[in-house]
This record gives sequence, C-alpha cells and structure tokens, in this order.
Amino acid sequence: MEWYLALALMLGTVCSIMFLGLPVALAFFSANVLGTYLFISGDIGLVMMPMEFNNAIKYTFAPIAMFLLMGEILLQTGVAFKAIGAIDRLISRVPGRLSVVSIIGGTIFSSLSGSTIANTAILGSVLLPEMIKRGYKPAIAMGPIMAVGGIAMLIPPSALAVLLASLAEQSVAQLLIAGIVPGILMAIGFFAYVIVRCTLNPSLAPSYAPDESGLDQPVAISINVAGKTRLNWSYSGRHRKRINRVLPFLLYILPLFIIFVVVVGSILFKIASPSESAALGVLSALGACYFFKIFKNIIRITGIDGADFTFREIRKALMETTKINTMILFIIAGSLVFSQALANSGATNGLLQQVMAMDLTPLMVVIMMMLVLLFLGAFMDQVSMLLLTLPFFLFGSSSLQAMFNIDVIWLMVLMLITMEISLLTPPFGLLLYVMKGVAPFDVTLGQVVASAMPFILIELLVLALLIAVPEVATWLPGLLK
Amino acid sequence: MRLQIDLFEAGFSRLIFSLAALSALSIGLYSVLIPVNLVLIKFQLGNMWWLYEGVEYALYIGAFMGAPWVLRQGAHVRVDILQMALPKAGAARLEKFLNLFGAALCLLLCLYGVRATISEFQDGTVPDKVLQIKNWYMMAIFALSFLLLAIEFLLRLRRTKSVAETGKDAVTDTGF
Repeated sequence: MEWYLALALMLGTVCSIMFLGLPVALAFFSANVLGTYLFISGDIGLVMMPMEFNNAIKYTFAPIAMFLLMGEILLQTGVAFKAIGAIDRLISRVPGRLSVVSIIGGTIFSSLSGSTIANTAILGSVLLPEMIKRGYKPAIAMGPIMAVGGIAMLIPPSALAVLLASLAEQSVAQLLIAGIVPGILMAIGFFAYVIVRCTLNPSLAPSYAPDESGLDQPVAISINVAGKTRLNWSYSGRHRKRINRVLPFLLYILPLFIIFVVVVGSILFKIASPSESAALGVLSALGACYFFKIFKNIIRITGIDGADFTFREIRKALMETTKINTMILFIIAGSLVFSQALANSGATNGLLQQVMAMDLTPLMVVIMMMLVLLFLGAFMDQVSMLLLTLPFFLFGSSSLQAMFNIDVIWLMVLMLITMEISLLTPPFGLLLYVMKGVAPFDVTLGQVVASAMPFILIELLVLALLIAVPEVATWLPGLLK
Repeated sequence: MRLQIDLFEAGFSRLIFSLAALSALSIGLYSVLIPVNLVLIKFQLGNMWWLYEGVEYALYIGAFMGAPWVLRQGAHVRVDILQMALPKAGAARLEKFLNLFGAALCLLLCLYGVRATISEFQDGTVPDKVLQIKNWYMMAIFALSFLLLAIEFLLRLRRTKSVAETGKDAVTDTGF
C-alpha cells in the first residue's frame, strides 16, 4: 500500500472514530487493530499486539501519577482554595486587582490540578461571579482565567511536561527546568497587560475597597491540647492589620512554595530523579496538609481556618488521581502501538521523506509543527493531540526533530506553549466553550474570544521570543548538564 | 430478568470499583516507597532492587484494571462536538451505536488477549527484567480488562435505553 493511503487510513480511522465520540484511547485501539492486521503480520500480529501494550508502559510515566496525586491532595483538603483567599487578602491596591488575583491563584490552582480545562471551569464559576459583581467588564474578567493554564503548563510541577518528555524519551528534568523562564515571562506579560489596561481604562475594573473589616480584629492565638486551652495570646497593636493581611499568605503560600522548591530543587541539584522528586513532592504535600491541620485543631489563629486532613481526603485524592492517570496511560498505551503500526505501514517514513523533499528550513518545519498543533487544539485536548503528532514530530531517529536536527528541549517547550494557545484559539478552542458554559451571565462567544485575544497575543509573543532566542528556554537546563 | 440484571450491575460496579481502589492503593504505595528507596541509597543502606520494575508492573496493571471504572465515571477523554451538535434523539442513537461499537471492539481485544495469554502460557515466556512475572499473567490482565470494558459498554447501552424511556438527556446522563 502506498504510504499516503496507509496514512489516510490510519489517521482517518483514529480521527473519524474520535469525532463520532468514542473515548480517544479506544479510537487509538481501533486503529491499532486495523493497522496491526494490515501492516504487521495479520492475525499473528493481533495475537502479539497485547504484549506491545505491556511493553509500552514504562517506569518513566510514574511521575505523572505522583504529580497528579500531589495536586489532588492539596485540592481535596481545600488548601488550594485557601491559598487563593490568602492572595486575595494580600493584594489590595493594584489596578484590576481581581484579575491579578485570578492570574496568581489560577496559576497555583492549574499547576496543582494538572488540567487547564478543569481550572477554567472551577475558577470561572468561583472567581468570575465576584468579578462581575464588582463591576469588572467581561473583557478583563474572563481572559486571565482562561490564559493562566499556559503558565501552569510550563512551570513545574507540570504533568504534561513529564508526559511529553517521557514519551519523547528525553530528559524530564531538563524540560521541567526549561519551562521556568518562559513561564515567568508569560506571567510578567499577563500582569503587565492587566495593570496597564486597567490603569488606562479604569472602567474595565472599577476600583473598590475590599472588605477589610476582618483585618481590624486583634490577632488572637490559642493553643489547644487535649481539649484544653494551654495558651491564649492576643495582639491589638497598630500592626494588627498588617499581620492579619500577611499571616494567611505566609501560612498558606509558604508551604506550597516549599513543595515547589522540593520538586524543582531536588531535580536542579541532582538529588533526585523526576520520579523521586515527584514522590518527594507527594510527601511534601502530605506534610503541608498536616501542617494546615495543626491550624485547624491545635493552634487557632484569627483568620486562619486550617484544613481538613483525614484518611477521607487522602482516599479521595488517590481515587481522583487513579481516574486521570488511568485515562492518560490508556491513551498512551493505545497511541504508542499506533505509532508502531504507522511506522510499519511506511506512513511515517513516507510523510517525513515528503517533508524533506520540500527543502524546508528547520525554522519552517518548527512553524509547520506549531500550526498543526494549533489546528488540532480546536478539536481535542492536549494529551490526545500530543500522542497523535509525536510519531511524526519527536519519536526516534526518523522524526522531524531528528531529521532537521532541532534542539529537542527547545522544541518541547514550544510545543507546550502552542498546545495551550490552541485551546484558546477561535473558532473551536475548548477553553472558550468551557468559559462560555460556566460564565454566570449571558455572554456571547465573541465576547469570550475578545477577552482571550490579548492573552493569546502575549503567549504568541513569548512563543516568538523563544523562536528568536532559544536560549530563553535552553539556558537554565544547560546548567543541569 | 430486569432484577437479575440490576443485581449483576450492582455486583459489577463493586468489582470495578474494587479494582480501581487497588490501582489507587498502588499509586499511594509507590509514592511512599520511592522516597524510602532514595533515602536507603543516599545513606548507603541498600536499596529496593525490585522497586522500579515493580512500579512498572503496577502502572500497567493499574491502568488496565482501572479502565472499566474510569469508563463508568465518564472520565475517559472524548471529543463530543458531534454529539453536542445533534438533536437529542440523534445524540441518543449515536450513543447507542458507540456503546455497541465499543462493546464489539473490546470483545475483539479480549479475544486476542485470551489468545495471547494461552500462547504465552504455553511458551512459558518471562520478560527481560530482574523482577520476572510470567508474561501470561500480564496478558490475562489485558484480556480481563477488555472483558470488563465490554460488559460496561453493554450496561451503558442498557442505561442509555432506560434514560431514553424516561425522556432524560441521554448524553449528560450516560456520557463518557
């Protein structure tokens, strides 16, 4: 069979079954049955196929589950929401205050939840009503919530970065570290945009005095042991307002920052492998939750709720992790065998030879890859588009990356940013529809797109900067070598 | 008959939940064991030589044993553009077709899983690993997973039907 017919048959099978609505993993399995039968020894190939699924699951996928578990522990105990509340208290006199809160809080939440789609749905229904109540215009209210996923996908712990590097058989540690500088640049771009735009046009985000009545209360600390109050101390001096503002931030954000330091530091200083750093992250999250539990039961401070941390929360976190991890591993198993069938059919090689014959420069190839991802993001989530394109982009010595000698870490960072942009790209970007669905008021798709557009442009600017100056992404991981 | 199927479904739900719970337990277990192993290595107190390969087995078994429960939870990611665009009746018909197609595909994969299990059992093959578990065990897990997935698809078909009879929204009530 000609390579283009094989390619059309394999991709056509996956895409048509996917668009009918069968789970993505099973769309891959369907194509595998067809591809294995046609291109790998017929019936005998199908008997051997289950063994390929067994071989597809590798130890390098372990950090995905552990990063997810780390986030779930903090979500199920409510710590993530309390962290947003603490940020809300700390930031008082900034133009577009709630948009700034949603960028910082959304980044934390999105990093922890591992899903930008879930992040948009939850923050859209939690923060957006408050913003609208305060007179924020949809143009400045919705955009930051949708856009923060871009930062979360770059800054560790990013489960998607682990997945991408593991699948491409590249250094997970280097990719996690490579995302930090672009992620920070993106965050600076978002902040600058919100603050400048709200300063120039204050009607977009009317300033208001946040409810600070609680800040005037005396700072009361009591220590309870075995149901008895052992210590009771109260401070009502002139610094009480500042203490009431800063204390929740220190108590809720600092432990989360320590988790980040443990994960990134253990990789950066070569103390641990990515799997070990993810497991250390889980232990740090458990430690942080235990710390918060102390403030629920033993140490009582005004304005600090602490957190529920029992076996119930851990069990729920484990089950939620299993749900997402199984979904991802099932797609991985399906798609890895799919890429083998594609290779055996000659489709991968045929397409790559065709691209080589077009006499393109590496930059043009990179831009072409980005355009394919932008197109796919209109219809599918990041994991699915990643697994559909990796056989051509990154797998092995006959991939576009290898044939055009493109820096693999740099390319993977570009792919992460592009995948996030694709979820925001009209007319079909998934996040646009999620936001339209959860918005607490009648909003047109045009308004949602308009609010996302400036943030898409900022992400495109970061992407362009990375293309022009690859060192922005490669400098930090270079220190690891 | 209806009562018997209801009883079967209740038992089946408990079974797939238990398998998913075991998968969850394995994630919790290796999240603790990996740092313990790191400490053992750093302080030169030995190591758990079986851990990395044990985690690999746990990932495979967990993914395939957890999949039926994930399907029940509607958490397998899917593209639902077409379903959303169709009118209710059309979406319900498409859902029925997908459930039938899913069941048939899973039964086919189960069949090949059983054949692979028999073949590996007869050959007595073991993987090229230090921690060796005979290949046929892994193939049996593959076959069992797809059998359970096929049953879940058929139960979904039944649920879609009863949802259609009560006039509720088929997609949201029985969607993946």
